[in-house]
Amino acid sequence: MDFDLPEEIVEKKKRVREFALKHFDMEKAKYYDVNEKFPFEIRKKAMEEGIIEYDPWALLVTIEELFTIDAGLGFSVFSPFFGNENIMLLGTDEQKKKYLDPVLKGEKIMGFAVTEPVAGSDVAGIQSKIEKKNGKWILNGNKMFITNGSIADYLVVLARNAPPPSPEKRHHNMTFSIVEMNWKGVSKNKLTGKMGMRASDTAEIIFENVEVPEENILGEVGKGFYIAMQFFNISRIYVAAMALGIGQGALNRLIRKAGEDKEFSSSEYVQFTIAEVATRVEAARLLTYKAASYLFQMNPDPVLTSMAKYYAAETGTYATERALSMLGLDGAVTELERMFRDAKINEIWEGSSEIEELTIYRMLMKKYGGI
Amino acid sequence: MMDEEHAVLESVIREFAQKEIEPRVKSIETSGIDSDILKKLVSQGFLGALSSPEDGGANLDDLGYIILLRELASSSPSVAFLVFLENSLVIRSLGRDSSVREISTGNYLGTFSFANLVGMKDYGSITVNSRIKGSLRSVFVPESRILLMDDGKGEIIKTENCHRISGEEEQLGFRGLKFSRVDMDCEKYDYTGIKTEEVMKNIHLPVAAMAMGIAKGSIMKAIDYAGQRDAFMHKLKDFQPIAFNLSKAYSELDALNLYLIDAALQRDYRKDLMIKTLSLDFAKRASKLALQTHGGYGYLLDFGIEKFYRDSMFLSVILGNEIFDMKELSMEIFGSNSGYV
Repeated sequence: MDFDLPEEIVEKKKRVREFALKHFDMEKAKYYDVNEKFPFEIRKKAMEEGIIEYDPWALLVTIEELFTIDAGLGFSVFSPFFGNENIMLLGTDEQKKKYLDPVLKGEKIMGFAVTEPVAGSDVAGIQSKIEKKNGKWILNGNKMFITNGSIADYLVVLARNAPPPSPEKRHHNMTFSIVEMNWKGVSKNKLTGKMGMRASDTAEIIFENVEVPEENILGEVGKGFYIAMQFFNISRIYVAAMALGIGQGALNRLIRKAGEDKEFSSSEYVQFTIAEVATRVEAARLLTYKAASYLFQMNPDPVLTSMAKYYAAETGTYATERALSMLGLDGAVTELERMFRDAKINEIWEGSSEIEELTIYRMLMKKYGGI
Repeated sequence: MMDEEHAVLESVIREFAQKEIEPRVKSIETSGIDSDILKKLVSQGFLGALSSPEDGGANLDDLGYIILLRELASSSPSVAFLVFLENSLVIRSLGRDSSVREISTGNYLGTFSFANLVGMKDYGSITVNSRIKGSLRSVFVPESRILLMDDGKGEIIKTENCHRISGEEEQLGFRGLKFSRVDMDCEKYDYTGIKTEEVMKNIHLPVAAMAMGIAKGSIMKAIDYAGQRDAFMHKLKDFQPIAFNLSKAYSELDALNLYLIDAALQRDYRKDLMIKTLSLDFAKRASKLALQTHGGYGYLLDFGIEKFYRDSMFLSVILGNEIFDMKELSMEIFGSNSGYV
């Protein structure tokens, strides 16, 4: 068992950190946060400097490092690719050429639309419909909290292709399709007033009799729920990396202060807090990397994935809260306050902490229930 | 236990908060506390809650004041903090100064800087000689006419129209109030005759009251939401992790409220510190639980939950911090310096 990352990944981490330190100045981060604007300039620079690589380990450590400096700016670097894995894994050659390639080249922005006003964690509760009428697929419904919703060129959208066969089988009869945002019947409403992650774009999307061509159906008709769960097994690892980055960022600020201020570091209360936060961050990292190693070997373990997302998210929030509590005003009037606001979303999106706990239990019982 | 007089007062304040504050909480967060809200606070005597009726105040006793801050904070922590600032810090620092009446009647506002206080070096410093010079950080309501601060020797000095806003600061909470750095260079200043220590030793209980208000607002909203929101074909309240956690938090809220009332009736410094420490911790946990219960909606300004999460954290660091409070509390518990190795 080797706990060291390969040399090229260590090098990648270093390069990403240098990129973030060079381009993520705190005035810029504050500007995009206050004005709730998506930082296109950061995304462009990241593409120009080759920050995004599609090697999964490189992507994981990239996210972790970017979030250590600033979550909002960091998110803009890779969020334009959000949901691409679905096309990569399930798309036809034509779909990949038309929709995936431009996203990977940085020419287009995409998103993943599952959540609805009445169905967040409860994916099987969605009510959007995609039905075949006169040989055409027609999409109707509302999507909520959609990342990149107002800036995306297209979304991968989950909707019901038929009513569920029974209350117990609510997860049946769901289908994904790729929907272009300039199609007739698609409208968007950018959500403002988020507590954190304000540099990221979030919107409500309304589909009204949107005609979806047959060739834009993604994956098998009726199997959308399973595709969504497969996607969450991937995306949750990256959310864990985001939370881990924020946790590490908060820890770094505590350590920096302790190194600079002897009065501060002379407090045992501070010393023990730093020790505790550091331990939790390292534990979150080990769990995240372990879950990632299974996923990246095409053998995902949903228990580990949910544990990693759950624990890293809680750790990110905890670390920012403890750092603020220790630093007091000195932290509250710096970027640490933004980190505190940004951290909390990781306990909610891509499966709330409660959903992760439920998944951990159910999958454990499936695996070991017969003992 | 609370007597009938205070029970009536609680009911009146609650109705005021529901009717006058609650419908405006979003605009308070985005545009600040407007003159109409200020007028309404004045008309009830809340802006001068601790001043006499002759000065336009409500002359509330400790318990009445604690109830006021708690109920206001359960709707808008920003409004509660303004009332706290004008009363616990400004009016208490002014003693018998004539400006107490002006503040109580809303003619102008005052503010207070923590600069020069022991353990508060991050708030900046001033020098007091023939002139007052210096830079202050983190001043709430910087547009105030009056600015009060410690002279560096434990006495409070008052300046009038003698500071200049030099820049806004990152503001995690209490966004209904402006929060800035200010520069000072004043020839004229007055001693109020009040010692800073007298003011500072009386802020713990009001801070606890605001924390309890934040906790109350959070938990009550979460309980309400859990009873309405459907997921997995049930109300959220039908799931044990939600129901049990909220029920436990509600119990904690009830127990700490009793302790808060008891502390207000007894006025013992040690009790003040204890309830402050416990309630700040609880407010942070309660608002986190409430936000989590609301899911993505809790993250949005429109639902009125995220402000509790920000404000509880901000309240715990803006008037001192955890290390400072724990040193004070340990000194009270052990009866001598402790935690100093």
